[in-house]
Amino acid sequence: MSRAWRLGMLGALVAGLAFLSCAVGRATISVESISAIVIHALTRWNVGSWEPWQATIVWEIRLPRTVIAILVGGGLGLAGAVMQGLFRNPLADPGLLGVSSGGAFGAVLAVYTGLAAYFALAVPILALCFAIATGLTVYVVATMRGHPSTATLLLAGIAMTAIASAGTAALLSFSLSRWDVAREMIAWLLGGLNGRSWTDVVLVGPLVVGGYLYLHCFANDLDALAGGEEVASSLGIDVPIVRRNLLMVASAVTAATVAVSGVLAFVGLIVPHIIRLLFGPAHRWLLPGSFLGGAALLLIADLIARTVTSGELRLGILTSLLGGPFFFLLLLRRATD
Amino acid sequence: MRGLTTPLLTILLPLGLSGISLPLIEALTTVPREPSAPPTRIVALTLGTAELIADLVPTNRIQAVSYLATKEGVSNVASLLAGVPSIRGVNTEELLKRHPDLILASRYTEPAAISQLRRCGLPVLRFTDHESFRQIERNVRQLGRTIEAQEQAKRIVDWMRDTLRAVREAVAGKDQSAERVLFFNGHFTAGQETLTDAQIDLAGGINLASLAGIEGYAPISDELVVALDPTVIVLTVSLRSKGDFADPRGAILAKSAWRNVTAIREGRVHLLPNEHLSTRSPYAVLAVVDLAKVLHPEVAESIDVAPHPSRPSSSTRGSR
Repeated sequence: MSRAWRLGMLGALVAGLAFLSCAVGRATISVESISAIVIHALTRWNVGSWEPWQATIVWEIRLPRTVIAILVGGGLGLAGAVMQGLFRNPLADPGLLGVSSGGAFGAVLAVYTGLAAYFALAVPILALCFAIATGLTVYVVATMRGHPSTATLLLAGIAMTAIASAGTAALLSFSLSRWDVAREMIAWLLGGLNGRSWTDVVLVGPLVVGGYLYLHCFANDLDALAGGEEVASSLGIDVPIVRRNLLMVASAVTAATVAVSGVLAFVGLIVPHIIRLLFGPAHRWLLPGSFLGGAALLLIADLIARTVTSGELRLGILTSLLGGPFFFLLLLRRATD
Repeated sequence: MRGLTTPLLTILLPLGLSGISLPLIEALTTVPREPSAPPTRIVALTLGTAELIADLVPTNRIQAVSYLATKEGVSNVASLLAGVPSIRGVNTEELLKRHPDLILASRYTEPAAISQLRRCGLPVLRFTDHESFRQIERNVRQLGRTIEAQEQAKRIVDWMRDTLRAVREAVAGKDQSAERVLFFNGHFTAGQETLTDAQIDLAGGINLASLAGIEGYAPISDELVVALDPTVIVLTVSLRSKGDFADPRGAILAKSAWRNVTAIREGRVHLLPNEHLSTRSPYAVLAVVDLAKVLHPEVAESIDVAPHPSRPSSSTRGSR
């Protein structure tokens, strides 16, 4: 089967999962009604009947949640593939430059200062600002003495992650006496898509879609970088500039996903590996495959999260549960190789 | 493509687009709705709001309540709400299915969940402050106005005031500084600006945590407890720790680090009814009665608690 067919099938899987995501929930709504509601919302054609509350559930709760799962999962898969290509390291993760930790600190700060209670968007907006600022700080610090090595960037990222995590832990510990505040912080840190709306779609959508379009243009450069910086340079690629630009955009995409979903570990790590097995190492296929693969993985995880218990399991727990064993497998395979 | 302009535009343009679209999307997707008058399908998301509403309207106007509100030993209105459906957490889909015309939430309800409920056109009344009796009275009156039960709300407020007056009269003239009280609940205590602080004060005691400068509900170290040397320690059993710590009083008495604390030496460690001490509803006045009885046992008999306007025949549990 050709790679184009495989990509088409992956797209169909995402579409199927998206429909399932709209169909499954605490309230029972028939598939006919869901289809009719969506068709009516998009075209104003009446092809069936439904109750107004059912339309509210589909249009205001399930559909934005599904779209965000696609954007967040896709964004993380895409950023993961780019990071792994740039660092030539299969263990590279979208949050490598401390972006996720910075975003987490921003969100927790919004809750701690009480901004979140008055302005619901304060959490994603502050998370986005801090995530971008963290990535930028890491890059500036690492490049202070000129063109940074991969190791310098990695170490700067680790240092920034530690600082941001310490800040988050400090705010959490200051909030122990206000358990409603601490609970909200913990819920956000564990990741999840509950309560997300079209506003969040607007916040994350343009950056993820724009980021994808930009990064896809560099698929060939990423292929060349896989052979090493010398090989890429010999092919006419301005390695420092390309690396800077790709890091910047991939980190911004990661920042956008963290802003609306919290910290979701392992999605950006495991998806590119699975997609590489299906599509090979060429980034022309790997990038769209990772986007769709990430979307599919997060749709599945979110479906499990909201159906497995009477309440709702936090999404970050599930992605870690799925990613942890895979990570072990990866390490064991590397050891065997 | 290779310079800095394109990647910067790739990031800044979408951010700008989001920034411009956000207010528009917010305005388009938020459906503000006032509660229909008077609401007949009320949902109380928290224990405190369930206790507020249960005393103001007949249960046939209550659509669902937090599962905690139907638990004996946790809720003051468990028997009253026995037949009312219960819900766990905030699930917007489940709530929409019930077609509520008023949803009662508190400070503890997640802001994101409240935003979603409002976006879906559900009227939400959120009580954000309940750490003083004045504020609880205000909450009762506000809810009374919203559901058009002002008369009953006034009766509840009067009952609260009568109960507090009865305690105040009973403990009048007692040496307040002699009763140095520590509220202790799983390494946490209640300091300044908490309802517990007000309850201890009204019952004729001094809240040591408040005196030590602790604000809100905060952890307290063993060392500070020993240094403060309370003459009375009051405990309550939280829902989660029930079963795990069946005997919190015994655990406190057995703490070797605290063996020289006056309250331990004299055995003045009291387990008070959780539903009185933990609630943020009008029933919180009953904790003042409980506290007054353990701080000043000699006046216990003289505290005359007025019958509750919703349930004149009901009795209240005392301390152990």
